[in-house]
Amino acid sequence: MRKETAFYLFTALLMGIFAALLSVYGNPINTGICISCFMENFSGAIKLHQNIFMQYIRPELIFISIGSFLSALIRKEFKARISSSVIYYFLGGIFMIIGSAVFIGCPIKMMLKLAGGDLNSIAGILGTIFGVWLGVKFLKSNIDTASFRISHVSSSKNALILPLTIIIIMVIYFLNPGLFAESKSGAGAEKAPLLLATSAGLILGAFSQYSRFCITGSIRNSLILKNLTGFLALLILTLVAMLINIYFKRFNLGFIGQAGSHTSYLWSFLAMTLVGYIAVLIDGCPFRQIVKMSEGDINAQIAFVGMVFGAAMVQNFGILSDSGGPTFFGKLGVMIGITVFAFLSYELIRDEKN
Amino acid sequence: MKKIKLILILVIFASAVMNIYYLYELKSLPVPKNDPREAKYLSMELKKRAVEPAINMLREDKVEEAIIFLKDERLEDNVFAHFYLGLVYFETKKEKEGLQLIAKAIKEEPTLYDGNYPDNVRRILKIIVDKIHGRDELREFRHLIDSKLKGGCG
Repeated sequence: MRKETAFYLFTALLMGIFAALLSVYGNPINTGICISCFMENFSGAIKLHQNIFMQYIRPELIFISIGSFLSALIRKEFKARISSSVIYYFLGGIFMIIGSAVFIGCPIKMMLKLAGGDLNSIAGILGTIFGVWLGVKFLKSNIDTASFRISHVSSSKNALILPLTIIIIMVIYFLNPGLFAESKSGAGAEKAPLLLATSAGLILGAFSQYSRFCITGSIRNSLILKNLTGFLALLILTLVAMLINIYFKRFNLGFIGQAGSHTSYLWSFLAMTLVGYIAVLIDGCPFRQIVKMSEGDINAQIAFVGMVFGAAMVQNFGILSDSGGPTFFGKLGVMIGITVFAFLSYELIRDEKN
Repeated sequence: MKKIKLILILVIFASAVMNIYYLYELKSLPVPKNDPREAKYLSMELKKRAVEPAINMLREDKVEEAIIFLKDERLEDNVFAHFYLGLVYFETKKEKEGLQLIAKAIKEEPTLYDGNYPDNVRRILKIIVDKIHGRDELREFRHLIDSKLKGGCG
């Protein structure tokens, strides 16, 4: 087995272990790691929305970034780079969070839900696979992917601004947590111990930077390259998390009564199709964007800003689904996302022909 | 040009020193400890008080009077009124109608099933979940209520 493959699979193993343990020790059920949920918590903590049940700085999120940043620095892979299509990344960040909110969970949580026995997540998994397949078809067949390729290498100092801002936010939090909003009830108040959260984030960030681990990337590689490493990684992640859930008696197989999950399969499918498609276009699921952002990818930094913006929108405009199903604004958000990205894709084809 | 660079370096140095000083001060900066739940719980308390007469009527088996009371248009925006009206319907054989009102109430106001809120309705919700267990036609309600009770995002 090649070293890269082994590292990729090992990262998936660590992701499964830490994600399940974070949930066992305090994070919301099946939400050991969920970038969209964490983004909503984070945007609430910095007071971009006022849902008192969804506000917490989520150290995991920040330490994933710090871990990736340190790993990139140590491995001399921190490089500022940017492509000509930054607006795609901004919109991509917004609509990946909207899609995830309608499904209730980013692609990582989608796998963790399955690991917890939530069979409703299958609709989301099928949607993600379909979205990735569409994205791959689109990229493979005709398209001007030049707008997405790195066209400009900027000064590394430019790329330092966002990772350093995040570190400063964390320092301020440690110095005086009272400056940030913090839920006392609800999902935002469900949190793993700080030491576990920070070390899990740091380790996952560092390993993911090294291995380039990504949920949608795993699906994409299995579809394009017929390389089973990605598929195997997802299997390992899910099985390990499932075993831990079974050990701690948190495994609950079925469709009904699952926490943070709804039974509107069409909307789960459409929402995750949108997330999968965007993730292929902008090269990475929400988790991967955090890692790339921290190694100097300015496109991913724009996507991160889009995700924070999208997370605030999700809460402020009632886009987040609940166990009763998607809301009106959630459905509208997914439809707008599909329209926007269909239009952008059409423009890419037209530009290529011109 | 050299002069400008020198001035900029001085500004950077001075502002960096000030930033470190302010960061140090930040640690002891008093922050008013507002718990946003207080206002929420208080408004819920007022709503609960408004439906207390109906709850007492139900305790005395005056179901019809309680329904008339809870349907009062002054309680149109009272989430407790929706919840208890739903509960009355649920207990008086109008199960689906009742569950729809209960579902509407808990979807509208998460504080209703917030474990930290003293007047939460979690105990009643658990009883409802047990009662509708195995009823296939009501499984969407069981999913909603059970899922809300388990917590998590969404």
